[in-house]
Amino acid sequence: MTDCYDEFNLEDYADVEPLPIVTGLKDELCQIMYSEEYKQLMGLMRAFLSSNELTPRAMRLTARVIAVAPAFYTAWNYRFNIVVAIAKDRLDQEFQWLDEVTLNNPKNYQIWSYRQALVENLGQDLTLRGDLPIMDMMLDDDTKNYHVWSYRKWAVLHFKDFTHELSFVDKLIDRDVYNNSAWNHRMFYMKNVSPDDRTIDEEITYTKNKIELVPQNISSWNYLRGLYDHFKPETGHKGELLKFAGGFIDALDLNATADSAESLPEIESSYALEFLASEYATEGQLQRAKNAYQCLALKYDPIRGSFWNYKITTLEA
Amino acid sequence: MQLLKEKHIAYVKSLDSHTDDYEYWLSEHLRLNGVYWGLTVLCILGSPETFDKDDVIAFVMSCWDDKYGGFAPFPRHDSHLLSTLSGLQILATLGGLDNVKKDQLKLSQCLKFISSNQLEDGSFQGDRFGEVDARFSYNALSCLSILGELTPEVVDPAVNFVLRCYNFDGGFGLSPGAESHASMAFTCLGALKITGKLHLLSPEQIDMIGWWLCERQLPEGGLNGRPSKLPDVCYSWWVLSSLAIIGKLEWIDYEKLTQFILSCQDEKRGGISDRPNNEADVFHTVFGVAGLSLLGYKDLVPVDPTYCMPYSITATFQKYGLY
Ligand SMILES: [Zn+2]
Repeated sequence: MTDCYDEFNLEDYADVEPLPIVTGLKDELCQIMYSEEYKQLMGLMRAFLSSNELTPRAMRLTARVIAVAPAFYTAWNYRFNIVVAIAKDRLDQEFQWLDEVTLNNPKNYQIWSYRQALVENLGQDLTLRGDLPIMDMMLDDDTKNYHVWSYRKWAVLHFKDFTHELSFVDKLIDRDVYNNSAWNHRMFYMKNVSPDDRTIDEEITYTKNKIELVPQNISSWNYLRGLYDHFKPETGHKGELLKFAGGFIDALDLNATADSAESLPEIESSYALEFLASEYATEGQLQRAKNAYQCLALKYDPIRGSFWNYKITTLEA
Repeated sequence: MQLLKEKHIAYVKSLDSHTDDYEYWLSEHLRLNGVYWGLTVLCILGSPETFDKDDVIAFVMSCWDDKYGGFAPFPRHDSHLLSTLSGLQILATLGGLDNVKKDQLKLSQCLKFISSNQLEDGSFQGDRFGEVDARFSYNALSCLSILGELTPEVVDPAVNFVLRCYNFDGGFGLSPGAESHASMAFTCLGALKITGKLHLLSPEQIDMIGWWLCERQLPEGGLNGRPSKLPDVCYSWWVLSSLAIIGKLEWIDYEKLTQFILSCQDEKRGGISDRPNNEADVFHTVFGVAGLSLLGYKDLVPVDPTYCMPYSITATFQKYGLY
């Protein structure tokens, strides 16, 4: 029983004197009754942290402590030092262990910074392929997990491998067109692969199709606007796009001033209306822009009434 | 519904006597942060003397990391920027900052700990193990501000990085290109405010940011952290403080948000939870109460949106740059 990856066994630590907690508070924890195993583990952990022993049994102890308290980042830091010292040629096993911890602790984020530290410092021979299964699995399970998405961006940039990203994001948007994380990742992808004009036009068509599918979706509208702002700043959002957005507010007459919510018809998308309003504002069609903001304040998005009223005052200035 | 002030004070008090609770010990890695949250609840509720001041300062100092400088969340853990900020916030609140400021060795160790975690691109890692996050930029700048030690060498590259976290949709992400998240709006705008660099955002950007932020309010009144997510009380703080920093607080429907926060109170035992009928915790309690303070709820101590501490404390911090 001397290997880094063997089971944790208390007998291996018989010679270690567990260290007590010193907090400076009165009544030094005399009344604490937390679980016996936890007490023992933490006592050992403190002793090892202070002796800084870099051995297989120290590594087994960190695994046990992390299993009980996965957010205890000092244990992760310590484990990293041990791996560097005695197990850096066994990364396969380390990742296997880490994958298991990851699956058991989907909300924890130390797992991802630990992974990043391993890849960055010891992973000269690795590729993105090694990371894909666990990332895909975690995002399949929780499609908006912020830490997995952040790690994914880091890993893609680190390995300079964008080949899997578009199809992956396609799949997630097909599954849930409201998934803002997936739309954001799509923008990250586009900005990093320097697409040609044809690709951008295809991308615009793709986005419009998704908007037609679900018109009241801020993520796809933001993405559409982002595409134009970033890749077609010179053309603005004019012409055809105004017609596209106008299609979702058919029943509304923006040449008329609205005075009550009751007099206004149903529309398909408040985001389309907001989009039109800001376009009219930049084009100098101030009365139409004002009418559009007024409608948002009155009926289509009243909770943000003071914001829309502010937009009206900027037109009057 | 009313704010149950006495209940919340009793709740925070009870946290400290729950030392026989297993869960409590599992949260060692957040203990100093927890003390800051609890203390700030008490300050905002006008009951700062609930804890014994000297005991708390002694505990904070027992978390000092002798080797690397800075504060760990608990004795013998490693220091981290998150817990270092909590430590300094507690000391500042209790008038104990001189424990670091007037101790030449500690002060220089602390400054070294902070600046040694700044990377070439201006970003900060939380500790020497390399996790980068815009939160840590805020932590570092806020620490230096509390200590009155901000310098252009640290500030200028840090601000550059923070500005790169601004996104096409008007929000801020944890790193350049990462999805916009309400907590990141607070850390990035807070970092810019602390360093007097808010003017680096154009009026159009401020409007976009304001829209992204008020867009977080759902028809029921609560705020979410990202599009298509559920409302959560802690976002009352991240979103409101961000709006307050850019001077656009009125873009939120006060009445509806106030009702949402109040509906998340535990009427029996005190404390506030993330959503109605969930279990209360000190994290959501402080951000709920601080949110209500920003909304002007009656009889609460005014809280500084940039530091999440009472104005009476932050007014003593040395100002850096232009405001
Ligand atoms: Zn929350």
